[in-house]
Amino acid sequence: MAKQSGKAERNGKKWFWQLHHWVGLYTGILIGVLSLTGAVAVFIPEIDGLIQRYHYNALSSAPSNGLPQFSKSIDSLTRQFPDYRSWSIRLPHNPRHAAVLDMTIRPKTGRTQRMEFFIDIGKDRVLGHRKWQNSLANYLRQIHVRLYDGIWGRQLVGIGGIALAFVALTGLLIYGNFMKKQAWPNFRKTLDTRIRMADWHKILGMSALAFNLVIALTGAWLGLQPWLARWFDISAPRKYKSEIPMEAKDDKEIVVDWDVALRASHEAFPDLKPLQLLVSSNGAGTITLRGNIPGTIYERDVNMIVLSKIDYKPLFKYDLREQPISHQLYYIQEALHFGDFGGLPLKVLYAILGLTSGFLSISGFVIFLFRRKKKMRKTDNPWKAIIVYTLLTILFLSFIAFITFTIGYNLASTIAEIVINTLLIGLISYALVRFSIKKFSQKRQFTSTSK
Amino acid sequence: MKKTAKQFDVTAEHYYVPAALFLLNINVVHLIYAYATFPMENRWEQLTLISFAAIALTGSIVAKNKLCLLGAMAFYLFVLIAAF
Repeated sequence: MAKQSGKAERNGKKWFWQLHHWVGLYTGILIGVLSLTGAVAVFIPEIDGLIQRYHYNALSSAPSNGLPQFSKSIDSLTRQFPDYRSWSIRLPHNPRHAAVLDMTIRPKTGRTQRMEFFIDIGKDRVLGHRKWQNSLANYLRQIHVRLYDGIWGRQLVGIGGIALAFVALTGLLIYGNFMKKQAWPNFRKTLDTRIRMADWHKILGMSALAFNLVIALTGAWLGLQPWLARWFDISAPRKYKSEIPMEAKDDKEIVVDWDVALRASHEAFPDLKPLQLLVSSNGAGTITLRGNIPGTIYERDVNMIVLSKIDYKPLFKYDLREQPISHQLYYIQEALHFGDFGGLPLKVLYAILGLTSGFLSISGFVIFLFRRKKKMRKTDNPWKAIIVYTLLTILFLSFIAFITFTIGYNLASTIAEIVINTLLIGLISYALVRFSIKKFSQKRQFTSTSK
Repeated sequence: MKKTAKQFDVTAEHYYVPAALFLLNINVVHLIYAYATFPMENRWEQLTLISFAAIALTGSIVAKNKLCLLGAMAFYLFVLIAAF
């Protein structure tokens, strides 16, 4: 009986090892790319802040009354671009930084454009502008969130999250079997590359397991959200639908007194730190202030208050602390995934731990190639393949960035879609052909031996 | 206690150490979050408990003593649950 259970356990571990091996091999490159881009993506606000400061020279002076001033700038910009569809203003975390007016412009001829204007909130003047889509911040976000593949890149990233969770869990299940008499964190004394890499793989994998599991599960949820929302009828829990009491033209003409609006918001929702301000242009006659409550672990700008444009009375308040746990769970995912809840030190930790999944995908590939070399007695150097794959990946990421900054997002996105989907079809076809050949040869071997 | 010729405690090495490392991952993130956001004047007890849990977990992983590992893990789980 004990022998049988031991055999079953060994068989189970063999299965887990097989799953760890094949899932890791086929999704390793995706996990590696997501790890590298994710480690940079956690710093998007900081990187963008530096670009605004040094490239656009967008700095604010201190406001005279302590409240940010931007009414005149907005007024001049909405007159300059009367075809605008909507706008919102993002207030800076640091009062020395500029506020950013995000305006969607739909010209009578040509494509809809999203422009960003930098505003000095002390002197209330426009300092500069840029096309949002072609910015480095957008590149860093889109390459990590959807691999620049608009068609189904986001879902592919979600599948990468599932794969990472899968290899992390199977890695945990086979860990004991692989460590045998080896203690954590001891390395075996050998010059064999495969053994040294295997030691690093096991020790680092186990040391960052919980972190990688959180990143994997939140990433899977965020990536697969469009599918999951459709399948399980899930929608964003923060809902506010306003009435339309006036014509859109009249709504656009109402001048907002931002000092009064900010004071009214503070009175009705004192803990809210407003960071994003929006005004209606569809006839709703509302001002929306979105922001954070310091010390909470939720995605940015999820708390909200809606005021009337006419009398600045609160129409709707969304304080996530007072919402049911399902709302809190929904809005905790992004903050947990990007480490956006503990300042810069936490982001540095996230970047370091995030890079471990990239290292694990490379070390796993090294172990695979060196083992195959030994098994098949091949003479080629496995490092060549590893260096070629790594360089091609970096070249692809750099090329897409170059196209984005020089020509534009749309072309870069089209190229990325073609490259990623071609590679994906190639990889799936290769796996299917390989599997069929193996099955066919096994069947032939079986029939020839039975004869 | 199942031990190898090298006085290697299999249960501690293969089960307790990975579990403690798992909790240490969470604890380090929790610790940084707490120091970044908790006001020192009225949340110092919580900060002390989380810091002590970090020391206990790290120490027990280094010592690899089963009782220390179990104690450190139980202590941090208690702190974590109490935080909610």
